[in-house]
Amino acid sequence: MAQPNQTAHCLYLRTKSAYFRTASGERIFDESSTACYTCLKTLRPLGPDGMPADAQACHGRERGCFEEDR
Amino acid sequence: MNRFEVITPADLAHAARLLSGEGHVALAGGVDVIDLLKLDIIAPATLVNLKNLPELRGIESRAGGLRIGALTQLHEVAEHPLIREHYTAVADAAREAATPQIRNLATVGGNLLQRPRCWYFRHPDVHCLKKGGDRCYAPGGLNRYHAILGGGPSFIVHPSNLAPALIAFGASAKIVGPSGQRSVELEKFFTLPTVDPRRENNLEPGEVVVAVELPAPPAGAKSAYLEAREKQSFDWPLVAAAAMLVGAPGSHTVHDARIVLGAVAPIPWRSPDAEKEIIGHPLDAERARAAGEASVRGAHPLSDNAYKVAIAKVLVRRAILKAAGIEET
Amino acid sequence: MSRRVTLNLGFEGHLQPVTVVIPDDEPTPWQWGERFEIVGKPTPRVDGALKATGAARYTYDISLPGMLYGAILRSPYPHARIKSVDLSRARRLSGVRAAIRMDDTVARFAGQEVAAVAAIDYETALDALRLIKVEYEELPFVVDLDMAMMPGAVSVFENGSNVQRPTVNEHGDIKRGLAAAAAVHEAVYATPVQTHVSLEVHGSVAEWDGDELTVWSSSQGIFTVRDDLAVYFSLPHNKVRVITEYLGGGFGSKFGAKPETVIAARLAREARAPVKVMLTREGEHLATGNRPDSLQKVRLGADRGGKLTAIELVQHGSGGIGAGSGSAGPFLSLYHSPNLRTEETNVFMNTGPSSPMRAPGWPQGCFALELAMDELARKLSLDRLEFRRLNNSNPVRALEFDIGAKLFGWKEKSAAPKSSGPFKRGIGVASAAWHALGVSGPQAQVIAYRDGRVQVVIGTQDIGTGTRTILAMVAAEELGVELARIECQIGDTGYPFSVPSGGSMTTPSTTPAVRQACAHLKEKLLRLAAPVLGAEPSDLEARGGTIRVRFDPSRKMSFEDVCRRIPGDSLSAEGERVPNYEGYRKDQAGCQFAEVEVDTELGIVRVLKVVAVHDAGQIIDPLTARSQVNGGVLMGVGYALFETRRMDPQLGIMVNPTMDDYKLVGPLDVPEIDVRFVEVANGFNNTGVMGFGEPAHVATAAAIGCAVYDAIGVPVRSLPMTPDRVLAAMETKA
Repeated sequence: MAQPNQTAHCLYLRTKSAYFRTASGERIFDESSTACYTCLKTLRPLGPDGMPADAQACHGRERGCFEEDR
Repeated sequence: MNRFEVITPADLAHAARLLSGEGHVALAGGVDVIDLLKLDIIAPATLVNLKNLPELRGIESRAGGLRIGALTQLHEVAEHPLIREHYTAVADAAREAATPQIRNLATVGGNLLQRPRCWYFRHPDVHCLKKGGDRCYAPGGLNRYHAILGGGPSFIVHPSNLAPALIAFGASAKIVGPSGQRSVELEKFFTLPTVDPRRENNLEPGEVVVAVELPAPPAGAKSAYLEAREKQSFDWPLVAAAAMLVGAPGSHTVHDARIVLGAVAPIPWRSPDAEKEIIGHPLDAERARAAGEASVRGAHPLSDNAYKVAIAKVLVRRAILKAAGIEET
Repeated sequence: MSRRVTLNLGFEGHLQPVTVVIPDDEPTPWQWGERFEIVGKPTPRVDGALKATGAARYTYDISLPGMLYGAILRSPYPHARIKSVDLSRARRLSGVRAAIRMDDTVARFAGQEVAAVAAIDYETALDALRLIKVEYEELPFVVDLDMAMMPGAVSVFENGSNVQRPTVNEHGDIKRGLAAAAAVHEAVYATPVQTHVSLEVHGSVAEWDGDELTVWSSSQGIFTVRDDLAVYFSLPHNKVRVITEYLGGGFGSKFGAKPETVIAARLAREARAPVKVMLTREGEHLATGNRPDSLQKVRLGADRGGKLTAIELVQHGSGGIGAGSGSAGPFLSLYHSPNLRTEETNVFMNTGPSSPMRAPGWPQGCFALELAMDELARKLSLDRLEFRRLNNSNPVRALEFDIGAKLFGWKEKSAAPKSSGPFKRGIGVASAAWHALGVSGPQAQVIAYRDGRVQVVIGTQDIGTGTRTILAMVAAEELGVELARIECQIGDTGYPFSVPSGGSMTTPSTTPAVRQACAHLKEKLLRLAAPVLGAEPSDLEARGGTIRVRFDPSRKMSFEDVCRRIPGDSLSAEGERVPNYEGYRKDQAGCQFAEVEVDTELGIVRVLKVVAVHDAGQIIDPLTARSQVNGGVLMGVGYALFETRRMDPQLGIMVNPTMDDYKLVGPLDVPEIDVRFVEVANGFNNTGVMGFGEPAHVATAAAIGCAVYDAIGVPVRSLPMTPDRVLAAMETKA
């Protein structure tokens, strides 16, 4: 069984750069100071837990609402 | 917007009868009324369509003056040769308003009767004094476009472009109502919020403004109308100024004058103080400047709009000089 | 698998041969000085007449049998607990087919979606909204950047500070740089929240067929909307189809599936009927995104010779309840300094979330940096253009400064004496930069039919830049046929994949895929023609509507005759956008010059002229290219002089969410705009195209700000430069 990807971003996290993929098919989560984030679960820049969504907070499994992007 | 019906009355008396009833609102060009409907500021059961009433149409010469039907469109006022020649400020005021598309639809009556542009009044979620609420949000809020003169308890500014220019020529509103007709000088038609903060004029239920009557211009009258706007296209004036000057024959002395400001107060704001500064004096840049200063004497700007005081001074000066044909150096 | 080609890369006067490796099936990249028949010729938009006559079908125009109309209820409060939402009365209203509430338990800005209904007509939907009972518990709020930063400010997120962790970039030693400076300038610059104001509002029409969802969406990324909806509704991607035939603007605000699109799909599912949700203009201003505001504390130092010794930015900005308010981009890249430090901090407040907007962060930063540059130049008594030349390290921009200065008359205008009257003229110049090379991923299909028609099929969308026209021109050029023969099919996720129209990347990402597909189709057509012409396919070329022998053009067949030899009904080929080659420069320069006239008594600024000089790669259509720059400049004029979201401090609401009070540039506010392109052969893809939708907007407000400073002799350090601010600045002078 494949291990969950500990370093991946949440399935529901979106930002402009993440609407593009690298030449090897990965979503790009550029942590630039101009990145606006949206959680697709809430449709807002915050997660279902009511806290801000961003590339650092929505990365890895520590956050309760994290879901793996398969 | 609520559900409503539209009735097109057969004649003026019918219109007056309908408009006496609760929940009836007059519809002419519809530029403002449709906005007010969309913003839920009004929710009439019936719109009374005035567009078929012949008494409200046409520009006619009368006793040396002009009768301008209330349905006359702004572009007609702007282009009418007699208005351009004898009531220049009025034609200019019509031309400065809104956009070509709106000027082709908006009427003289509508321009005088339109509701204020105040963003609190127009906001569907704000129940302000003007809508029957208990406070005007302008003094404690965002008031850059609000009143510097005559404010309180409401601090709206009157939005009509035409009114200052018409008042400068002593125009009257011809009004027909359920109990007959009356004529009221426009200067006395508009009312301060101290009278009733929910309204801007003394038009009574059932009354229809059928025309504006301009008296014959005084011999030697010259006039000008200026607006200061943030944008050159499609914007409301920060300040408007109409100046009508009557020269004594054969001299530069100003025999009579009317100075009326727009967008500075809840009503078109005639400034006798400014007029005094120029009447009886030969006109020059210094006199005009003094009139500009006088025009805002007693101004009480709010937190964000003191700049309008500065603009008003300049605009009044420029309007006077433009009317007099004096180029500033 | 791959081959080496030598390209002449660089720009006018600075070209050099560079060998790059490209995949075998890539056509040889178009080269500097290539002789084209169609590309580069001013070409009216192929769909211009459709748009002008109203025949072009935008999402707003979609009408399906049995379609319902949706409307959204928004929170009137900037911060409130949503205790209950009672939809029952709305549901019972005759004509209402569906009613939903959003999942939120807290409204964090006025305008946040709370509930929505679908009904047989829009008016009934509005009636139903009035019947929804929402119980709110109002909470304290903060809608002002300064206040949101204060210790003890109301928290937008529970118990958290509104002030996020700063992003710091630095090199050298800023203290040493400032100490070494002959002159230091320090000031705070402010920029407002600007909203996108797409003329077509956000919205979608959603229709379910079993578990298959079709959505017509006013979107700048059909595939991203598809992916988002698939994730949101847990559907396989192939069960979602998104269509955007025509789009009335996006500017960065229409990338993915936003609330209104999800609402349309949820309502449609509940109502078992198609539902259309298009926002009101108010909803558009409040909830679809915006360019964040900024407070930028800038310190610049330069030596006596005018070389910058220090660039420092300490910036705060608010993306509302969202992030992304940084503005350091220009500080990090426009001018060289050995010592540099930028610190950007996003601050939360109870206003609508930001979204990417035309060069995110750059117009803000450019305004602050460039006006600070002018203030420092004055201290050093340097010509402002010369000061920029001294610190510019981009050779393309150096050329652009020369071209622009000449066109604009910088020298003459600088020397002209200032009027003694109240109307003062002034000039300014500012730099732009960007990086729009395009990305791999897009796929295209090109089909030739027996009757000689050619279809280009690619799942891109036209955000308004003329994508259909540009793709058709590229196809016509490659196939050697007239433009009218080409028909472009775009805007449907049923077509081959393409990327969103954003980041100025559409044309550089899509044209190479279309060109490669056309090259592949051409090979097939040449093989059909070869036996008839008695030549090898490799000796043939497609040109002038014919396929002909390269060394003997009299031996030829018309394109139509070749198509008649297609064995079936059509012949098709695919192409893909391959990763960027190793090209010349990854950055783009650009600069803009502005002339203004200020009525110093009324404080009113008019922009008289803007000269915009930008690098471009291969220009496909000079008309649409110029339109892009015109649009960027106009948006910049609005940003400089008029546009701002105004938040009432008492109620926490936006008071100007209308086209009347949110002031956009009108016809009389439009300056004379002169556009020049410096063609840069950057060698990253087979068409040589670069995008420039964003750089065209970066420098305008900055150049205008500098021009106003020149005109009145004092800087107006806050945008928009409204009369009150101009007059206040004049007063500090007196």
